Amino acid sequence: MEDIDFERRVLPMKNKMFRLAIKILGTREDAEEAVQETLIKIWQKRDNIKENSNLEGYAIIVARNHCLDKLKTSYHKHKAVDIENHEFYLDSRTISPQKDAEFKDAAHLIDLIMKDFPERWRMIVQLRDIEGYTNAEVADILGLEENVVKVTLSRTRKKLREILINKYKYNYNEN
Amino acid sequence: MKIEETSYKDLLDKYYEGETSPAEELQLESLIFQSKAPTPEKDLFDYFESEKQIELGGDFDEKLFAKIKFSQENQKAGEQNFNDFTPKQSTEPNPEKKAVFYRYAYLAAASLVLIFASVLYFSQSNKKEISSVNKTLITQTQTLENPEQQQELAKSQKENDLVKIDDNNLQKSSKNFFNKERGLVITDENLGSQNKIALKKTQEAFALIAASFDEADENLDKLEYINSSSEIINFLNTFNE
Repeated sequence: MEDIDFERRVLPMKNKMFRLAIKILGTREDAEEAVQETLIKIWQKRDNIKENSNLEGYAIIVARNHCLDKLKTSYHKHKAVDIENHEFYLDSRTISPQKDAEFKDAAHLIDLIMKDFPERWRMIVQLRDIEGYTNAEVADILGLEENVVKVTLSRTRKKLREILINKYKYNYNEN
Repeated sequence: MKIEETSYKDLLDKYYEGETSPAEELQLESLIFQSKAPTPEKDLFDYFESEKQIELGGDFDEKLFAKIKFSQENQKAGEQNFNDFTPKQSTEPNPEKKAVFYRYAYLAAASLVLIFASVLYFSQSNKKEISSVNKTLITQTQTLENPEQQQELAKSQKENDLVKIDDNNLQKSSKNFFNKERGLVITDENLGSQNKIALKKTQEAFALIAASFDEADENLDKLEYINSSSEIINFLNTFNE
């Protein structure tokens, strides 16, 4: 890969990588640092990257792995989150008073709820609903079965809707 | 209107099942925002739209390329450092290697000096012992055999030794230790004039002892003669009685 390809094909990915990094690391500062490190890493390996490879997917994978590595080795490792431990969200119909006091609007509430979701849930919503990738592309990036992506996406969207309805009691008629 | 509503509901159901395509989601989004009524989907899509706006600062590229340039320079410096250790430049003395060489050279030189000094010391002390023992034995035998010859020998030794002992010329004296022909010569300065006097007196003492032995032998002979004569006189006296 020539230097010009790095600027043309990899560098435009920086904001996607940045948003993904925020979802993993939690803060803009840490995410910016992680994106910078990821791009330097890709630049240093540019001679080994094939011209016709999926650079976009590759950049996202490298960024995610780099962020997860940082998370493992730094103070970001606040708590281990997995899907099983988050089943309470599906059964519970309430939001904790702490969370209730923290958020300012629906977007803020969703942001706070998303932070407590398992990493895989957050990644799927991020790549599908925010970055606009297809289920197949997301499955490829995350190394999952397409059906797993679809089921997880469904659960996450439904869960978000459930929390919003419980909070705002939308006075609308579905019909 | 009915068709639109059906389409909206179907799309929404598909959306919550995770089965919509990105294109269908765009269509759903436009339908959601057509309505003014608040819905959870509206909040959700609002959130997604606000998230899409998050971007890096304008100076990110500048900072990134500065870091890339820095890492490039470091890489070049690393290659240069690597070249410093290639055989191409190894013909010039390496300061570290030079220091190691001198350290071992000093050690080797010190060891050689020590070994040489030890050999010299032991050979000297052995020679000294052998020569002093030889000298004592020879003077003893010579004294007992012939006092006159011993005196002559002592005289000649005195001349030789006095010539050979040179306190101010150690090199000369040390050479004499290795002179096989002059095994009897005392050349060590430790065996100075006092030792020579002691040797001379010892020789004289041996001469006196030898002389006294001679006298004693003579007296014994006389005594035996006297004893035997008195016994004969006594025997003859018995006849007279």
